[in-house]
Amino acid sequence: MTRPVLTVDELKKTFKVGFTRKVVEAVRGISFQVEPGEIFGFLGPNGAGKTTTIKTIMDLIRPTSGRVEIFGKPPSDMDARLKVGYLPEQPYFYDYLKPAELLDFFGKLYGIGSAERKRRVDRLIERVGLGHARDRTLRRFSKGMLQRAGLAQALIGNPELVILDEPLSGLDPIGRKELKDVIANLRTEGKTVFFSSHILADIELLCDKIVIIDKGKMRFFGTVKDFLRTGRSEVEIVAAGVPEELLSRVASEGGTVDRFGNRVKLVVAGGKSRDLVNALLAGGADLEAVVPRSEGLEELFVRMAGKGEEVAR
Amino acid sequence: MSSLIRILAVAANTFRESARHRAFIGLMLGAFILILSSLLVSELVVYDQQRRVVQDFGLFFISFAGVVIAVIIGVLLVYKELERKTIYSLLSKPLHRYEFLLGKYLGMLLVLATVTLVLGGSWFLVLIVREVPIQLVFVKAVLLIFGELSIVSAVAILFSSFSSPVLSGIFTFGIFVVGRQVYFINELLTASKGLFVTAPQIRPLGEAVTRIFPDLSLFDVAREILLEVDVSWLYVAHSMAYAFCYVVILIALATLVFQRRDFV
Repeated sequence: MTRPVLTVDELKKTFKVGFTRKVVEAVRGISFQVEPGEIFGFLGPNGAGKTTTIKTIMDLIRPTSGRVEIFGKPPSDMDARLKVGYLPEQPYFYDYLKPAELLDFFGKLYGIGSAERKRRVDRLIERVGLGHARDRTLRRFSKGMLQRAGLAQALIGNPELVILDEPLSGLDPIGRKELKDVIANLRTEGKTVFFSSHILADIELLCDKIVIIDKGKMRFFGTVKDFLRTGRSEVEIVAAGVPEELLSRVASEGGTVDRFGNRVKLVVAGGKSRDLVNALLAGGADLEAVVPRSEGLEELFVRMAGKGEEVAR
Repeated sequence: MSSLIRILAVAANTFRESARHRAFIGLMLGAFILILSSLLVSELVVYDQQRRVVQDFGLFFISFAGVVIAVIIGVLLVYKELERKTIYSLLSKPLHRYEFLLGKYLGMLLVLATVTLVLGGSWFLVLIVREVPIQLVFVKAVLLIFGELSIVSAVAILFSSFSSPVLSGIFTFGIFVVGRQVYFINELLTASKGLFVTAPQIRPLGEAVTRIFPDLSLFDVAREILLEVDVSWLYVAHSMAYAFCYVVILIALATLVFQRRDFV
């Protein structure tokens, strides 16, 4: 059995804020494991505790209780840190530096020799699409360009685990597409990617496994497929000339009825659709469309977060 | 070895940051003009006093400008890393927190060494213009100013590891002012008359000040220069060793504070 790349076990973090030292529980007992080679999504609405968890993983914040291990070692261990690259949320870097200077400085901290450093810096600048901005200082970079520089600095140490905090926020559609390609390519290079996002479509496409947290509590941990399976399956039917008694029956059985003049749109649970279609045909309705509809990640997440519902692990 | 490389990398970056900062260049220029202005001031006095004026004013301005620069850069050094969130990407690298602080401090020492060299050089230039022969004691005086600045900047780093820049600046400047008076407070404590004899209840306060605050008067040899008394290399070495011990204690304290911090 392979050793997990990242282990978070019953992690809790409380902060004392304000003059009255009021205790705020930012993270309330989160546990999950990231296996080698996975693209792992860390999901949650704003303020859910994602960044606090990630900063604890990076040893920027010390946990109140619980355990974090990177490659079986505590986050403060230098050997573990050598294998990790990190892109902070809304990254800011030394704005008086040019991208190559920034990468060279960070490369030194990884103990990379001068010739190898130069090779990696040149390659990474091209890889993240900053070749045209080599001679500009970072203070003249747009937000998207800073995000690219941030990704490059996260990769300078050729890490086995790449942790990205909201890497896709603030990017235009082209930038998002390019960054998603970079993340997908990291997997083909055998790297493990752990990234947080509140943009669910990105996670659905890229990730093998996900953790969902809300208000500091874990709501789900498992594969995207398993998560979607917990969602509702529905059928949408569009028809004209539907008898009134049938519409009343759909509404009374928990379905939804939307009227558009003579036409109606009915949404019913997947298991009830066959009977309804038969009844509509028998009642002389003019059937226009029958569309099966699975609840997507976004709908499922919104429903779950709204109810504070917990999905079994 | 790799720890030293990381500390030096942070130090080099800190030096580069200051060297590229407009405010730093402005401060240096201002201090340079101040030292040159001692030439004008010396025009206002009689000829045989001109030499004394350029000696006194020059030394005072180097010390004054050095302390201002040490306090400003010192209190902003760590604060800016936190405020601009650059510390997140830095401390997530294979870099211990103590290596970060040591690197920052060493970088600052490099900046202060540059300041002392440039301002000391300007002072020597003024002395040459006024036909004052450059003596070894002048070099020792400049070296001692650097020793004093090394303590002041370590105090600034200690305060900035847990306090706001304004408060850190006030505290650091306060310690500088009190530190310059430690010698006189000691004199008063050993005197058979004076403040601590007439008000013995504040004697413990005086004793506490002399024990806690650094004696910065050790680094001020303006009076010796004025009286043309030699300052021995042994005295310089002793003062620099004193500065080194203080710096080690201050940076160790700053590291302790820094080690416990959450970077939220």
